[in-house]
Amino acid sequence: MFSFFNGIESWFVEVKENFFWLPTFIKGAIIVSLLAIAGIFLAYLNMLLLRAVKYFQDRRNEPVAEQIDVLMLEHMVQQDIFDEKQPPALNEFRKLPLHHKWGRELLVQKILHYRRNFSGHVADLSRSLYIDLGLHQYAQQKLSSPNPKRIVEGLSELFNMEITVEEKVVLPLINHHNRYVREMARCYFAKCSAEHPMDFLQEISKPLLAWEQFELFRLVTQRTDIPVPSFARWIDPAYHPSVISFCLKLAAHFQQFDAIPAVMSMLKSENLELRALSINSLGKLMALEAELELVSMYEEQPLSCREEILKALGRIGSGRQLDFLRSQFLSSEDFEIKKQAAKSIVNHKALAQLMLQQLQAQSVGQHHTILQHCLNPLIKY
Amino acid sequence: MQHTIWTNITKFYEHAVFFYCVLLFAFYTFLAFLSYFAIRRYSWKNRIRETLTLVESPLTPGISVIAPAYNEAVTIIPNVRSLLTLNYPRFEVIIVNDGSTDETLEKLINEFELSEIDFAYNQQLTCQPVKRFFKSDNPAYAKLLVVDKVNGKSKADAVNAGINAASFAYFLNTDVDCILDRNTLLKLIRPFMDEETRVIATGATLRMANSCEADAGMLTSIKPPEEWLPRFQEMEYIRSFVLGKMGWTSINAVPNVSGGLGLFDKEIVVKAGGYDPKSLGEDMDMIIRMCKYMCEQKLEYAVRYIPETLCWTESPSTFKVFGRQRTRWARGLLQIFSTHRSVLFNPKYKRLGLIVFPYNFIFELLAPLIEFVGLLYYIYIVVFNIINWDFAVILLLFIYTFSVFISSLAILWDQLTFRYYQSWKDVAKLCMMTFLEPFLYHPLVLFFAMRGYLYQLTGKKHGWGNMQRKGFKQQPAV
Repeated sequence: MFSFFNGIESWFVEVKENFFWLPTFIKGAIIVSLLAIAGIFLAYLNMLLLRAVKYFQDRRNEPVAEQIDVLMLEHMVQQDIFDEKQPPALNEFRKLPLHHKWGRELLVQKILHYRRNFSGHVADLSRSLYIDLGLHQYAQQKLSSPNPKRIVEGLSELFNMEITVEEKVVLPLINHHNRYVREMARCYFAKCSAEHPMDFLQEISKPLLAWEQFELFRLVTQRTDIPVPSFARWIDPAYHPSVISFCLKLAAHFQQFDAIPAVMSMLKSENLELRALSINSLGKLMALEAELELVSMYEEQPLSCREEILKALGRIGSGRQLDFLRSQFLSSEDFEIKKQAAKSIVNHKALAQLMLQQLQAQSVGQHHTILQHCLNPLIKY
Repeated sequence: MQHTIWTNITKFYEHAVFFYCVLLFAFYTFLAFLSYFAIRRYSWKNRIRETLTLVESPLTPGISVIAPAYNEAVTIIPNVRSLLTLNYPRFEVIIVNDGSTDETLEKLINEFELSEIDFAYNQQLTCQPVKRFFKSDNPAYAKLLVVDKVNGKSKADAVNAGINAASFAYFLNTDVDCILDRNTLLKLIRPFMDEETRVIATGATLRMANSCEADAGMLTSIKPPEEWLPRFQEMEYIRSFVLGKMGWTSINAVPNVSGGLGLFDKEIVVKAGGYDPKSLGEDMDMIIRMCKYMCEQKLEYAVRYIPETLCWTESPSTFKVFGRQRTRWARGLLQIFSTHRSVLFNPKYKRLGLIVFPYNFIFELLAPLIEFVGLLYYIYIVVFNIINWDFAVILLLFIYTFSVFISSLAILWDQLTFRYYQSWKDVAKLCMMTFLEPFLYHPLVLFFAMRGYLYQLTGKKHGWGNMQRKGFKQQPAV
């Protein structure tokens, strides 16, 4: 055994001594192998260090986190039970290690956690606590950082705590070169701007991504302190298509009937997606006045818009276009058109009862299956 | 003269193989860097994106979850339950019973109170005929649709039937024997909503569930496999997904979205012709056809991966099943390159033709061949005693240390992001595999890959076979 190891050792020594006389590719292989060995060593060292750091961080944070929980429960959650509301016991919280960055971050995380999970007095108290301890100043400082990630973190914290910052600080961020900063600044505006939460829409020159639309949609629907703005204002070809599409959805969601003329003006849009979405919105707004125009434009539309027209007629459900729907159901060659027409007939409920009975009696094969499908309450979509 | 020519050939061969290795290692190192930054970016985005936004929004798009089942009676019920409890506001679960000969369908009918219904089925993609459709009378299972079809002898055929029955614009392709994370749909749909470019498919990391414990289709304890063969596969998956796919995702050159878990844009899948039932690597074939379609239509697109493990699956634990699986994969790869050979180095297909295909051709398809020829050459130089043992050992160490290094990095990246294994013993078990893999596991992979190529080239008929499921360890009742 010893001789084996001695042999290996002497081999290594020999390779080391003759290194400079070895062919280039062998030298390269030795160097790569040494680097790889160092890399393996560092990788495992890193794994160990990660575990060690996590262990010590947990050991440091756990008692403080527990202490914060006790204070939050005692001074915030239990307060909610009593009728007499007290301001947060600041002195108790100041005893926490807030002079350390980790201590402040831990407290902010906990406050955010409580704010997310409680509404009413607890949420208000946690916000007051955040302000009274001056924690918002650290978040505000992040807004002037050159690092976009820091700005996003700062904005996100202020946004979640609903802290109003001067408009001149946040306004330039709406057109920031970094998309995440832009996105967060817009969300911040939609949530925290006192008067014109959606005014930034007219400034938008880059597409509002679906995710951003979801966020803004949620924020707009959650704001109860101001009247919902009229979205018809932005349903105008002068604005970015993504802004128009977003406002079409919002107008339909908030049932803003005064937006119908603006939505109808978009029916002539060259943008196929916008046109389809406008038709969809008209259906959701149950725009009776759009029915005839939808039927008259039907023939020259592509499949996606045709489907939307049939869907819209079903949603409007006036009963005046039932014959048109029936003819589409019976004569169309396209499966999806047939299915959509049948769904829209069924959507007319009592108004289409007679027609449905006739169709059921007459239809066979595919037509019959489609009708049964649309009439089946077990099939939701 | 003849001797000199032969010497020159062998010299050229040795240098070419060395250059090939260096190039491959350079690619791996490059991927490791890219994946590190992609993982960090993903983690940061995770911190600022609230999943609640998707859950609460009425704009969230619907998703059809398609899971084909063939003779899955052992695990079907808990797994369907698991699919039904996914956290997402608008989805349906389509179980395609692909002509099972066991009690799969009967179990589904009894457990979920299913009744046969008339269903408007639009056969946009070719597949074997569908016999019946079932929906549950119980509103608790309103999201479930069971499609009973004639066996198509491939997963692709069953998925096509599922796509034909799907109601939504996006569909998740998974296997019914997989256990999915509750937030799978929320996490996989995010890239579709979060990019300017049209995302056509997303995937996530898969892991082995062989030693995990499950209760009612949910994982209650996560552990690396106890058996060695599945544990090797686990390590291989971590390397492939966390390091490989995450690296490719950052340059939008993902070659494949795993058949076990992938979310797809239905419109593009249908326009690209759906899954090819004759393909043995139907998942990669599908992505390639989708990308080809996008390039031919001159449309920008992206295929993305996320580094979180969202799917746990039972991996083959016997050599027989493992061999069958790997042989099929190798055949599938060869088949893909012969079907789509026009893509290779074709600038018309942009990244697909200039990065994805060349890389996979040179470093995935040719690698087993080069390795095999290398082994034969080794034997030759040993037999004829023309080997320089010092150099041979140095070169073997070069290969070995680098392969251990890359696998170790993959485990480190995995540890940096989402620590699925809390105990250091579990991590150590995986780390051990990195050192043993080149000796024990890799030769097996090489052997089955070569067998796959041989079968494909000789046109040997392929039998899919069925992996006998053991089912997941159930948590003991309290």
